[in-house]
Amino acid sequence: MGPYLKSEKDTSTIMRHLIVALIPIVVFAYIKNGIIPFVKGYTNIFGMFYPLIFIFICMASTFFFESLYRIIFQKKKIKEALENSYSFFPGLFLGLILPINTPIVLLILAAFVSSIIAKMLFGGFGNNIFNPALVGRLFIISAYAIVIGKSGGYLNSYEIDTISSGTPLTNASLINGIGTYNTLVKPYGSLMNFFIGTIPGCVGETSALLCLLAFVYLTYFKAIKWKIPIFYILTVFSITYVIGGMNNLGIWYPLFQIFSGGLMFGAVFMATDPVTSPVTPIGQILYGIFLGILTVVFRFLTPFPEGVLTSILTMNMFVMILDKIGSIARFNFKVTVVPFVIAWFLIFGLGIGISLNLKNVKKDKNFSILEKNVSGSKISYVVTQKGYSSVIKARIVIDNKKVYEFTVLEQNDSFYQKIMDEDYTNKLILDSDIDTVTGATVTSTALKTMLKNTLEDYGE
Amino acid sequence: MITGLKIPGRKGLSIKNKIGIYNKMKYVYIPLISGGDTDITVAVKKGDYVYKGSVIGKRKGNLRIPIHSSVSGTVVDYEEKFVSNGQKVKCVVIENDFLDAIENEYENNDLTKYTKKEFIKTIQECGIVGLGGSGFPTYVKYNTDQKIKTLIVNAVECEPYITADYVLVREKCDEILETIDAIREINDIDEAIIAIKSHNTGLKEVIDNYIGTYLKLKLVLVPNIYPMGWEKSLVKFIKKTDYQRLPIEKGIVVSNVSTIYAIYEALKYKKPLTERIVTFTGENLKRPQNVMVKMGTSASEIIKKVGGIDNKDALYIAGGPMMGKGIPTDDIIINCNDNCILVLDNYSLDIETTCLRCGKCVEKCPAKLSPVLIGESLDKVDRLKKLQPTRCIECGLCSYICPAKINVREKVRKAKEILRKEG
Amino acid sequence: MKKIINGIVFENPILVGMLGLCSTLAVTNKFENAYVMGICVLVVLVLSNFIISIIKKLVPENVRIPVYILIISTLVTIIEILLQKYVKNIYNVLGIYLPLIVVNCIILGRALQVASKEKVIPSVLDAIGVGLGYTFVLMIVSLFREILGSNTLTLMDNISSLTGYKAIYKIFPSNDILPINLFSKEAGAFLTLGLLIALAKYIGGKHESN
Repeated sequence: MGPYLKSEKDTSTIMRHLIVALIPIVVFAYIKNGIIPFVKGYTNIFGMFYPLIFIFICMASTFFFESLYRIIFQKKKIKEALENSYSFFPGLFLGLILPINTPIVLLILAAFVSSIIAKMLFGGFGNNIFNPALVGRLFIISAYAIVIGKSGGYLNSYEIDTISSGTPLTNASLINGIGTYNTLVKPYGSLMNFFIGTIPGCVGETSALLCLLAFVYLTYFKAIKWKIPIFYILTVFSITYVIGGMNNLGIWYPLFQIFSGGLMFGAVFMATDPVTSPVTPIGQILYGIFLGILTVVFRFLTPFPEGVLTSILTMNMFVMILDKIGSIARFNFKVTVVPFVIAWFLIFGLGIGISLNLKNVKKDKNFSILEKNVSGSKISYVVTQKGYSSVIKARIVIDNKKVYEFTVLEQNDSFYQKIMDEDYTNKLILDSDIDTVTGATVTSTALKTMLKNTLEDYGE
Repeated sequence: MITGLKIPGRKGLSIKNKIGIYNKMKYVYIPLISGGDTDITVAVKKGDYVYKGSVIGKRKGNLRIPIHSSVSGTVVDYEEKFVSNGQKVKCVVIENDFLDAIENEYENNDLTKYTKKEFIKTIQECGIVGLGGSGFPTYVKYNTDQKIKTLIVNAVECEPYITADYVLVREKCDEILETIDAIREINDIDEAIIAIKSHNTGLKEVIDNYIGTYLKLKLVLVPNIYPMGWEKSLVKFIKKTDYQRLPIEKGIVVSNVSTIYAIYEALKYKKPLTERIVTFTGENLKRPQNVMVKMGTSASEIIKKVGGIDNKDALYIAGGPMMGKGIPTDDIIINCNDNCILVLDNYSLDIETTCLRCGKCVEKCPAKLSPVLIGESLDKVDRLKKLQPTRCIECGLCSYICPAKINVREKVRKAKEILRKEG
Repeated sequence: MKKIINGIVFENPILVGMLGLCSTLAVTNKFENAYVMGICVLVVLVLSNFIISIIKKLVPENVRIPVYILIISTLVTIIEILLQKYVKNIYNVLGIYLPLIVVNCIILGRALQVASKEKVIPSVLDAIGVGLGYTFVLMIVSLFREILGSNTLTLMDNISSLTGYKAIYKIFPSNDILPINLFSKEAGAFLTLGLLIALAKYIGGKHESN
C-alpha cells in the first residue's frame, strides 16, 4: 500500500532552511542595535548583547509555554512534548518584530499570547488560523503603546540622539504620506540606507537587502510559497508608482514605500507562513494581490500604524474562501475572472483615488509651502502667499497647535508700512481672527490667509 | 508546462543485462481474468490436451477476447491463486509436457497486405490486450468509425525501476517500427509518433538507425518527468490538447510499445499473446534482470532462477514503486497486466506528522486536484463532489512529496470510495 | 430547584445560547455596572414570565409577539423611571442599553419558549435561573475587564445614593504590565468573552464525553 518511494525532504528540512535564512537577519539586528550603539558610546557592554538576549527570551518563553500546555492539557509525556514541536519559531519571529525598548515582562506576556491564545487554543501546530507572532505583536502594540513609547519607542539608544523624528512611516504619516525626497527620505540618509536597513524600526525587520537574499535562497530550495511575496510587493509597487506618478514624484517613491514599514520582512516571512496561507496556486496569487491592496489602504486612508500587520491578519481570515476559489479554478479557470476583475479595479481605482484625494488638500493656489521641517510635534514652515503687489514670504513656527513665531522674510507690497506700524503679525499670533488693517486690506488678508493655510496644513 | 516532478529512476539495476528466458516450469496456472474482469467462459475441461496457443477461455460481454494457453500439455485441475491485484483468482492448471507443440504452423504474412477488417479480426482472435497495465482489449481501440489522425506509441516508461519496454525496443526496434508503419497504413492514420524520454540517449541512437526508412514516422523526445507516461500528459505535451475521457475524442490513439510488438507477432505469424517481458528488479535481488515470461508462470520460480533474494525480510511489490501494489507472498501468477516484480528490503512506514499546508501536493498533481483539501473534507459530501476526486489517477506523487510523510493518496482513494457509495 | 440550575448552567443564555451579547460587551467595563444590569434584566425577566404565563390562554396566536413586547416594554419603562429617580448616576452610565433590554433576545426568547407554554411557577423558576446565569456571566467578564483594564474594582460607586457608601478598590500596585487599557475598550471585551465561551464549550465537551 502506498508509494514505496518517498522524497527525502521532510518538515525538518524546510524548518532548517528557514533558520539558515534568518541567521543573517539576526546577526544584522545584533550589529545595528547592539554593536553600533556600543561602538559609538551610547550603551554599555550589557546593552551590546541585549538584542541577542531579547530574541533568546522570546524563543525560550514560547517554547516553555507551549511545552507546558502540551504536558498539562494534552497529557503528553515530557520527552514527547519537547521534541518535534518547532515551538520556538513564533518566538523567533516575535523577537524580530517587536520594538527594542519593550520591557522584558511584556516580552513574556507577548510570548504567552502568541503561543497559547493564538496557537494552542486553536488546536496546536497546523490548525491555527492567525499568524501567532503577529497576534502577539498586535496585542503588545495596541495595549502597551504608551509604556513602550515612554521607554523610547522604536528607536534604540543610538538613534534617539541622532534622529529627531520617529520611524520613517510615522514621519510620513504626519504629512499624509506624500512629500518630497527631502522630507521623506533625507532625514534618515539616502535610499541606500533604507535598502540596507540602517533606519529606525523594530529589531530585525528593517533590512530589505537581507530579506531579498533570504527570499532568493528559500525559493531556490523550494521552502516557501514564493508566489505570495512576489505578488504582494508587485501590487504595492504598482499602486504607489501610480500615486507617485500623479504627484510628480520619481521612482524613489515606490521604492521608499516598499523598503519601509517592515514590508519586505512581512512579505517574505510572515505572509508565507505555511499554516496560515492558501495551498492552491491561484489562491496564493489572489492572497498576495489583496494583501498589497489592503496594505496601501491602511497606510494612506487610515490613521492606524502597522499597515502590514493588520493586512496580513485580515487576509488570514479569508484563506478558506481563497482556497475554495483556487481549488475549483484548477479545473475551471473562469471562476477566477470575478476576483481578478475586482482586484484590478481596486488597484487602479486606489492608485488614482488616493492621489486625487491628496491633491485636493491643497486648494489655495496662491499659497505654497517652500520648506517644512518636522521635529516631533513642532513644525517650522517657510511659506509664500500672494499679496497685493508681490509674493510675501514668511517663516511660521507652530508647536502643539500654538503659533510661536510669524516673521515676514520678504515682501514688496506697497502699503506694508501700515502693517508694520500696527505690529500686525504679532497680533495675528495671539488671535488669528482680528480685523484687517485699514489702508492695507489686501496685504493683511493675505497674511491672515497665509496663517490660516499653514495652520490647516499643520492640523492634518 | 507539464505538471510533474523528476524522481529517481533506479533503472541502472536491470538495464544492462540481456533478456533471460525461463521455460522450466512444471505447472502453468492460466488465470481466468482479463482486464480486471473474472467473468470468463472456460473452453476446456480436466483431462483435455492443449497446444501452445489453444484457446482456454473467452471473456463475456461486449469486450470479447480469448485467453490462450502458453504451453502445451494436459489440463489437470483448477486452483485459486494470487494475481497481482491482490485477489485470489481461479486458474486453469496445465501440466507442461515441455514440447511447445503448436496446433497449426505459424504463417508468414506481409504486414501491409491486411485490410482494416482483417486487422481487427486478427488482433481480436490473438487475444491482444494493452500491455501497459490496463489489460484492455486492443481491437476495441482501433475498431472505431471516427477518423484517427494520430497514433502515439508510448515507450516512455516513466515509473522507476521498470525497464521492460526499454530492452524490448533495444532488441526489436526494426520490427516495432515496421509494425507502427503498417498500422498507420492499414487504419489510414495521418501521422505516427513514437515517444521516448529525452535522457535515454542510447535508445535514441538505436531508433535513429532504423527510423530513416520510414518516412512518415516521427520520434519525439519527452522530458524526464513523472508521470510523463500517463496518456493525458503525453497527449498534452505532443499534441498540445486536452480531452475528457478518451483520446479518440481528439482523433488520437495511444498504444504501449509492448502491445505493438505483440501486434507484430499476431499479424506476421498469427501467433497469439502468450508471453511478455517482465522486469525482476530491486535492491534485494541478487541478479536483477528482464525475463521473457510465459503467462501463468509463478513469480517465485523466476525469482529463484535469477539468483534469489539477499535479505529474507523482503517486501514484494507487483508493479513499480509508485503505482504498484504490495503482495503478501512471492507466489503470484504473472499475467498480461504485469510489467515488473519489485523486491525490496522490508522497512517500517514513516511516522505521519501534522499537515504543514505547504501546498506541494496541490502544486505537483498532474490531474490538477487539491489532495490536501480532499483529505480535509471527507465528511462533507457536497464539498467533496466539487473537488472532483474521481479524476485521480493514483500516480502517488502527492504521497511521495509530502514533507510530513502523510499518505495523501489513501485519502483521495477513500474519497473516491465515499463518492462511489453515494452513487 | 433543578430548573434554576438548568438556567444557570446548561441553558446559560450567553455561553450556550449566544443571546444578548451586545449588552454584555457594552456594560461590562465596571463590575458595578455589570451587576446592576444583571439585576435589572433578572427583575424584568421574572415579572414578564410571571405575567405572560398567567395571561397566555387569553392571547390569540397571531398577536402573541406584539402583546409580549408591549408587556416587556412596559416593565422596562417602569424600571427606567425608578432608576432615573433614585440612582440617576447609574441611569446615565447604562445609557441606551437600559431601553435596549426590551429587544434583548433573552427576554423575548424565554417568553416565547417557556412562559407561553408552561404554568406559572415553572416559568418563574426558569426566569430566575436564566437571569442569574446572565448576571453571573456579566459579573465574571466585568471582573476580568476591570481588574486587567483599569486596575480597580468598583463595588459600589454610582449607587451610593441608594446605599450610602462607596467601595472602589485598587488591586495591584502600579507597575508596567497593568493596566492594559486594551481591556477597558471593546476589543478586550470581545477577547474575554471569546475565551470564556471557549472554556465553557471545553468543559461542556468533557462533561458530555464523561
